[in-house]
Amino acid sequence: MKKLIILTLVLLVGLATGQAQQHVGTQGLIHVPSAEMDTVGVARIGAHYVDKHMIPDGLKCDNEKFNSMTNYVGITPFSWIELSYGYTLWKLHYNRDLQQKTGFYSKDRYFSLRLRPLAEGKYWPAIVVGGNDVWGSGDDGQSGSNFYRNFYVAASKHLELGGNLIGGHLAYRKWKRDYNEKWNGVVGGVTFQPYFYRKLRVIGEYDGDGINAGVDCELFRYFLLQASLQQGKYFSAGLCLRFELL
Amino acid sequence: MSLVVSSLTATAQVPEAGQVEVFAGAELNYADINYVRLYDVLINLTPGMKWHIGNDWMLSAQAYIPVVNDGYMEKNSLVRLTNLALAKQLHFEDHHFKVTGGFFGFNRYGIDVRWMYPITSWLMVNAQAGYTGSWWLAAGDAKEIRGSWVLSETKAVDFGGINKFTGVLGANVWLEPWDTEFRLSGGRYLNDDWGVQFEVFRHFRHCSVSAYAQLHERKEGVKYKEAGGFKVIMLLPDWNWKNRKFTARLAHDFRLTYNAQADGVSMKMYTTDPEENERTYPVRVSWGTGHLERR
Repeated sequence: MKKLIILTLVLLVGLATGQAQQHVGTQGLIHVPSAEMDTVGVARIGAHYVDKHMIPDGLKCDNEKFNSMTNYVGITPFSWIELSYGYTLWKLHYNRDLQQKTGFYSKDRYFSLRLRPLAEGKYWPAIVVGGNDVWGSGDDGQSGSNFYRNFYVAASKHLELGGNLIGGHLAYRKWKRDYNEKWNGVVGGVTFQPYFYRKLRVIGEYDGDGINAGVDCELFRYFLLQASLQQGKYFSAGLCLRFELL
Repeated sequence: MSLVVSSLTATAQVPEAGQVEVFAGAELNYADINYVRLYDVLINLTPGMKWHIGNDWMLSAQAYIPVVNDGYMEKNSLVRLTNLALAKQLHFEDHHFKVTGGFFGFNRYGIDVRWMYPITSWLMVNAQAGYTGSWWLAAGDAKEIRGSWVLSETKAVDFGGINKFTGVLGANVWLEPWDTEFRLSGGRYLNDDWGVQFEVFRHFRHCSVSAYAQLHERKEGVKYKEAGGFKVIMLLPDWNWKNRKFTARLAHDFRLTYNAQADGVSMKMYTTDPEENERTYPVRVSWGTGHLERR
């Protein structure tokens, strides 16, 4: 209930139309990719509090998942490409010594890449092909990570009805690690931007494991705030600084 | 990952003869190479000066004043000189040279020559060659380097003590409608390694960002022969105080370099200018970023 109140407050204080920030630092919905691209020349720096249910199962401490934070930087240098670098703080025993206390002493890093071969038109959707954690040390790395590695193709189409903007988003996603297979397959969501506040966006999505709901909104032109409830009960939120380089 | 906030003069303009610039910046280094440690952090203040003597002669100097050292080697905690060099630019129609002698960054001293030749409005070739040895001048001792002053062909400071030749050849391609630049370069670097780098720049009004990939020899102690990452060079507000012959200014640009492998030694090259950065060419040329608006 408390989380629902927080989410509602965020909805009420939303000021401007926004584009959602996935917690890994790219455009998208909450936990589902979309084919939307940010404005060309926009750079983003952000942080996101992430509930453990949104974190890949490979990231554990003492065989238990943990809530964490992600940080990221991203840029859209051209209208058809988006890149980002981010990391998730990783709880470990200090110096990996099981006798020592636990804390966020490490992190899992990842690069994300999105390419848009087709922009949205009047009659056809935008198409984006992308991936998270697209390059890394792989299984040879010390962490044996690729926790976030997944690839997808996504489509997005928007319709304007009575001044409101409604978006439909569909994607097919494949995660590398078997423990993430619950998020494999067809995923998608719907977004709603009301006519009276186009910079506010309400999101509902299915990420393969359940239904998530959230909002994002642009604040004071440079800030983007997102809050969500995964499966209707697990709260995550993030704040991003956006600035135009052109 | 190195975050450098340093001053940047407007390279589209020729500095007035006799003008002295005093600038101050900061450098943030942070290494993410220890799996069980979030970051090693090193912060330096980087005051410097440039004296534009006239006729394209310039004398430069810079020092590092460490503020925070958490995880880096002890020698990085010493106040030290990092640049003292005399440079001369020469321009012959389309061929542009810069010759620099003195004490350079990355603890190299010697002589360096740069050449840039814009062939067309979209293609430029360039080269760099140097003959350098190692040097070190700091206030105090560190366990890695005994003695405040080191100038030796044989006593190693960073990249091996003996004098050595290094050289790089490169080509730049500029795509005018999008202010996008491709750079391909390769040669012999300070670790006696041969390597090649491909880099794509997107230049914005006040910022340049790039992604790069490297392929190099795997010398002793180097785990990977591939590397890559991204760079951000951002121009900061132009805050300064000036009179006819003297300018005191704050940092003009902010540099951030992320290297995924971060071995710290592969494909490294010294810097001859205390404000050397990837957005501004080392020699003044009317090509590429030389045309971009400056403050």
